[in-house]
Amino acid sequence: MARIVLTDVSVLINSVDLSDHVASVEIAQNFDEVETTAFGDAGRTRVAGLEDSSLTLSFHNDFASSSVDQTIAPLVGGTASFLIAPLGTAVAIGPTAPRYSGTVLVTEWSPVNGSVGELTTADVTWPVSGAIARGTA
Amino acid sequence: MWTVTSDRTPWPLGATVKGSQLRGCNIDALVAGGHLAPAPTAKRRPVEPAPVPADEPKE
Repeated sequence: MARIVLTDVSVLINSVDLSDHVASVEIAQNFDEVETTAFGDAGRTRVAGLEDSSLTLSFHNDFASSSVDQTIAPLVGGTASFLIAPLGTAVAIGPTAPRYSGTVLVTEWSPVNGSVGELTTADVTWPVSGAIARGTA
Repeated sequence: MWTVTSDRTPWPLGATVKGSQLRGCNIDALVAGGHLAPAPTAKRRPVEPAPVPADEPKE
């Protein structure tokens, strides 16, 4: 049975491809849990409520022209579209190569983070505004 | 109309994109990030006034 080793994930923020400066990515898709238990039920029943997802990224920061900091800094405090292609955008989208997209609220940014001799990184978790779309076509 | 000024967007460097192609994008942030610049618009040459016909000499 096949396994997936992430080697070429495409990460686009506000239509800007920052994949070569991202070391990890996580889409956490969550839904509120709404209880619907009523008299006569043998156990608690529940339905999914509103989606409350988030996008977590670990950037290698870069102040170069059109790179990470110049792209993200203007977005802080506002919303930005995102596209995550786990197998890369070079692989045609399809049922076996889905892509995830949506809008995040850029609530945090760390332009400088690190100790002497270390790579400066920016680890962020941005809440998704609305729902995440899973595209397969 | 916008000119693509970086190689990190889905459009080729130097291409001209319309606002409709940027739906969902934060254009101000793309400009601030050096990815887009306003496309130069063709300047119209000012229309020169038609020459006033010279009065015909009176005989």
